[in-house]
Amino acid sequence: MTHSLIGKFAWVFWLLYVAVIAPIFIFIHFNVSSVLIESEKAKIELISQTLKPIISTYLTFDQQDMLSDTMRTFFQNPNIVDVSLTDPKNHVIFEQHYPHSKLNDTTSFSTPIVDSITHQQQATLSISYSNNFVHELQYKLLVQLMVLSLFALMIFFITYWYFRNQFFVLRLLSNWMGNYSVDQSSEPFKSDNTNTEIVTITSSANKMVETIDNYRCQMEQINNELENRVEREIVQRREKEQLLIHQSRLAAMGEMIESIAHQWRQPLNIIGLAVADMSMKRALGILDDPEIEKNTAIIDNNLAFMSNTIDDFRNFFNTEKESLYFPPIQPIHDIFALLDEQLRYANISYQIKESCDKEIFGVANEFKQVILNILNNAQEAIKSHDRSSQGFIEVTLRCDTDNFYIDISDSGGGVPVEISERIFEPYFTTKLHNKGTGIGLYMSKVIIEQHFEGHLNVSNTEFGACFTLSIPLRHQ
Amino acid sequence: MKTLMYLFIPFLLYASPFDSNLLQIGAKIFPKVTLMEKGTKERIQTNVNLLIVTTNAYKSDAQRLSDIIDAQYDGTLSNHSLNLSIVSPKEALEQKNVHGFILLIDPNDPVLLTLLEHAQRNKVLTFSFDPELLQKGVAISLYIGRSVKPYINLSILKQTPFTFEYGFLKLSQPY
Repeated sequence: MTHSLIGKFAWVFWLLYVAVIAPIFIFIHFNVSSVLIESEKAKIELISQTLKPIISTYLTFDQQDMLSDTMRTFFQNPNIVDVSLTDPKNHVIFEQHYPHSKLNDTTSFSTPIVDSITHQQQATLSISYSNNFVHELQYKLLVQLMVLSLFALMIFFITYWYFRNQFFVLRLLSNWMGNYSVDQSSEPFKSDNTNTEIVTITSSANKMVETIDNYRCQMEQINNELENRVEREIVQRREKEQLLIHQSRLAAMGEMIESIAHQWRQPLNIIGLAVADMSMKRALGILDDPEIEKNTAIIDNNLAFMSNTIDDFRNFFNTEKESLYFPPIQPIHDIFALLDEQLRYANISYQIKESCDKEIFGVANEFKQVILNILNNAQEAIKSHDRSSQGFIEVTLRCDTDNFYIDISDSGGGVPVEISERIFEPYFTTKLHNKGTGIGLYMSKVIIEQHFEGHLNVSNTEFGACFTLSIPLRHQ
Repeated sequence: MKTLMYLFIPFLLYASPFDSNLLQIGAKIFPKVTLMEKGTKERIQTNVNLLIVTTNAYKSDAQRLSDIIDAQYDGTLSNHSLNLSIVSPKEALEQKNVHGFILLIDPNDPVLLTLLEHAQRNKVLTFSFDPELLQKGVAISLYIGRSVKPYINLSILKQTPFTFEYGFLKLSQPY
């Protein structure tokens, strides 16, 4: 089955043609012949019925001549082959045979002639007739129908040819529209067809394509503008993010300096005591070489400790951002080493449970920044929650086949439900007196999700909050 | 002329004018013709009453005719009883509910015209074997030519009027 308009037109016409001609053929072949045969039979029967009283009267009055004349007159029919009239004793009263050479397949029927007065059968009228004329008529009708159908066929071909020529431009237009691409401009469709509808369709198509071209140009401009805006936005966002990172690092640096101050207090005291000891002994004149060596050793040890602390600080703020696989336990120990004095001072114990020794991929210092942020928050929460009892921080390292999980739970009382959805938003803080910037957890989440391709979530436990870092083991 | 000559042959031979063949034909035709007239047919209730009107001269012929009709129809005509009576002209004038007079009387009988007037007044069909009676006003007679046909008096048929079937009129000989 074709999909073209002209093809469908041809199909529809053929169907109409067959739908009209075929029933007419069938009607003529079956119905007309039977109707004509019945009609002829009825006609001959009508003649017989009409003649019967006349024949009866003639028989009554023995009018043989008139009977014969009447019979010959009425039955002078080209389809009648034989007519006979016989008395009840089968003696022939009248008999006539019409020698029509073409007649065959005769049909016969007999009817009694009854005297209407005595009700006695006077004779039997027998007629044999042929239906050849029906077949001849049927043949003539079929021939005429054939001629008509051929004429209709000729009309169809002329009509089809005419409309094909008229509508062929639609096919060209269809091809032109099919080849049209939004990505490239094309020449307007041109046609010599002057039909109003075709001209309207053609001009509409050209207008439509022209409009599409205009819109395409506009869209390209808008896209270019959008791309520029997006690029600008990305740059601004990066700058903003860098600023946030810088702010975060500065905040972390402040907290680190506070930790270092805590770390340095003890060695500075020891160094001070050693120097005071040596001064006092020199004033008393009892400072000897072994004493000097002993105090010098104490001072050296503490200075080395302080130097190590500064090294840790420098390492932490090293701007080097090389991503590599590393075991997360070491940065966690480093952070706890920095915070050790501070936690001890705040009466907070900590515990690290390690049940996975696999490595994660990323920048170690950024990971440290995340851990430091979470631990500082935990420390602040514990301090603000309950100062009377000892607080605790527990870090659990675990993993499955795909991810490394780090749970950092505390006894700080947890995150209130009403703010649990907001704690990762930038500049959101619950710390008072400008102690918090509100960017620590936001940056932590950004680092974990964008740089480590993992997730950072928070939940509440019986004693406090639990931050869970899930980091994929396989870097993509 | 030839026909008239045939009719006169019996008289010339001093014989009865109603020979058996003629009576046979009349016996067959007259009762049937009675039922072919539309008005008469409608008037018939149970019996068909035919009167053979004759004088003493033709009484034996009348009786023969009556016997032939009886033999022909056996007292039944188209589901009706056929009553035949032989009466004189005077008796005929007194009869009512009659459907046909078969006249076997002389054309010069003085009562003939009265009888015919009576018949026409009462729309009674009149039959005769003698075509001369048609001239007097009888409705139906017999035309004897190559074959025997009903001989009908068209003026009487129109005056009375009598209405016959097409076939009958077609085969009849008009007078």
